[in-house]
Amino acid sequence: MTRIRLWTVALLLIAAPALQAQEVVGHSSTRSDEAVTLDFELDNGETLTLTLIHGRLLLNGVEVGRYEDGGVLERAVREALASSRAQETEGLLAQLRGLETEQLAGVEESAYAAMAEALAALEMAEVVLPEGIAAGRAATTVVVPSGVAVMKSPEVRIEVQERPAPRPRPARFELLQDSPSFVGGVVSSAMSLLATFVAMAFLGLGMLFFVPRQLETVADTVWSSFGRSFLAGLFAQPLILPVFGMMIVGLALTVIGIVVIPFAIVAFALGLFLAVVAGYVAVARTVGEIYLRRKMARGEAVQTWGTYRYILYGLLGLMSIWLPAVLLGRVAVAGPIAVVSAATITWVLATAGFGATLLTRGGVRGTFVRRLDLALTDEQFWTSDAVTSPRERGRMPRSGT
Amino acid sequence: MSLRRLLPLATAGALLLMSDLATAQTWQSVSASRRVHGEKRLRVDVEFAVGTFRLRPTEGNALYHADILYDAEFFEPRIEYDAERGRLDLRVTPEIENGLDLDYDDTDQHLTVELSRSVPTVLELKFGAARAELDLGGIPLERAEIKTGASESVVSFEEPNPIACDRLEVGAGAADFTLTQLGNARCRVIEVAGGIGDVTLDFTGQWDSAVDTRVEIVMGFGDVNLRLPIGLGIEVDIDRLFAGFEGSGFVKRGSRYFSHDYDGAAQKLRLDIKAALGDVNVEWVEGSF
Repeated sequence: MTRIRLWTVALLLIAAPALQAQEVVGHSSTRSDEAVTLDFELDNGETLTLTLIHGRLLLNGVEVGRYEDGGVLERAVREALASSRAQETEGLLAQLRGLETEQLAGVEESAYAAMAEALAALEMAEVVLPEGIAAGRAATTVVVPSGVAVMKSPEVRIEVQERPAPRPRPARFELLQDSPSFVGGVVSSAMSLLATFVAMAFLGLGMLFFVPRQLETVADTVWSSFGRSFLAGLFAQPLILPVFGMMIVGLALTVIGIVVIPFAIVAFALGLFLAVVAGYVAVARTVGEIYLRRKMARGEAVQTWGTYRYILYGLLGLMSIWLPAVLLGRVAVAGPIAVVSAATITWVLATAGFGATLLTRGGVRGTFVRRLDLALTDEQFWTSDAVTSPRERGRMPRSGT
Repeated sequence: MSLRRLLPLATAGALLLMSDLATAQTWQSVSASRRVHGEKRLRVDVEFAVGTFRLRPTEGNALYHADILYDAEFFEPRIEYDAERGRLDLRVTPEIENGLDLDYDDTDQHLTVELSRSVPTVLELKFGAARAELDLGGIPLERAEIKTGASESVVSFEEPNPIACDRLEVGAGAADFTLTQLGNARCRVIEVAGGIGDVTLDFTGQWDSAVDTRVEIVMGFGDVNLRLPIGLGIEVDIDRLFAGFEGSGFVKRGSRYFSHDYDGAAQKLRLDIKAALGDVNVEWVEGSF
């Protein structure tokens, strides 16, 4: 036993030559099922590392003793590290130095002796506080009304002033607003409707200018697959928030992505807004096209400027749904009915437009675009192989055959 | 939409989609402590991804104490103190290649930090999908920057800041964020930027007449709840898009709102609010200043 101990101490001295009365400024520890590692940070910048791993006690990486896996020594060290006193280095050192050693025997006893000797060479560094706060910085004056409880803080001088705490006032800020008359209300609503129309018309013009093919694809999808588009939009709506949440959580989990979150929120909101508005404009284009093609099929002259006319006529049609709501909005029973009806129809159309936007991946995929409807057009009279769609080519007689 | 409702939905959706999610958890703990030993300033950087993050002032002589319990399967901890620069670096970040355990709602993973009451401190805190309970009161705070992702966070100043603080910046992504007893913060500038989620700002506490405080609030989608102490002179400049403002307790002069006692108040506070969607609610409470 004595031989082992001497050998251990010799190793200890080789492993940590600078341990004589070293000052410790801090520590860190790592605990897992397999190992316990304890680093003491010394004042001179060096570190003393104690490791308990698989029955071996290491001092700065050199084995200085053995212990039983899960035995008395390991349990005692783990308990010492887990105790609240061990939060600060001084407490941890005291805990480790004061381990109950009566139950230690054999190799564990010598291992603890080696550890205790290493720890005995450690002294806690002096607490040196910065001057400004430790010596009491220029006290701040805080004035409180009398009778108010104040918290203790040596750096803040509390002056109790005989000033009664101000009484809460039943203050109320009221905006004066004239109740608009019936006509005024109708005019106001009509102006809102007109403003919406103008805004949508400009958005439609912008889309026609920048993304005409995509708009046409979405509009075609609404026309040919209205039910499918509506269902797609309907089922997509409850998924908006979870998808948004997933995006945010995913970014947040990476921590680095936190800084991108505000931009992601804006991008998501913008994307959603554009998808809904684009879908609605596409629906308007479809409605306008149906109306004008029927008009042309009757032989009525229609001025050109083509697709934009579709959008304008379609928007006029969609906005006209709100006319009863505008006119009857303040009438007792008819008003709410008109508003709810207009809102429901608008929601159905917007949902279908949104769904069509999703189905076409923003107007990129033409899977659900319409076939040529011969009943609505006289285009077949000019049809040739060069302009006929591939789908129709098989169904129409080829010239000269 | 409250974040409490949004996050479980998001988490459930993410769990369904992520096929490589492992269920095994390997818990390990790391702790570190250092005694105050002549440091003139401490800078603390924290990055914490998932779990519960707590920060408070220490009661002993420690410069800092940090305690981490983490799932070693998915996360990598780091506690580093650079004595020369007086910089403490604390991280619990995910190892992306192992997948991500998104079930943070029930996780035991935590980071607890205690900081000295005597060393002037600069804080830079980032936490992702974490619950945060931070009591910064009593810590000599020079400056603090707090960025949260999708979290529920409460930051309080239970005691007055022993020194005047330059700036307190808070950026909340999709988070419910609560700041309490801001009067104790003794900050000259407080900036709060919220993305989605409600932000509650409680301006009670012991106001320091030597420190003029300006508060800038920028909100995207969510409510701003203001708890204002009666008797504090408050000026509000609000810029709204689709947000409502309850002007109860204020009088309007020009484009700004002023508390009734504004002119006679010994302590004044200016609030600049920019809100897009969501209400700005005001609650008047008894205050001490």
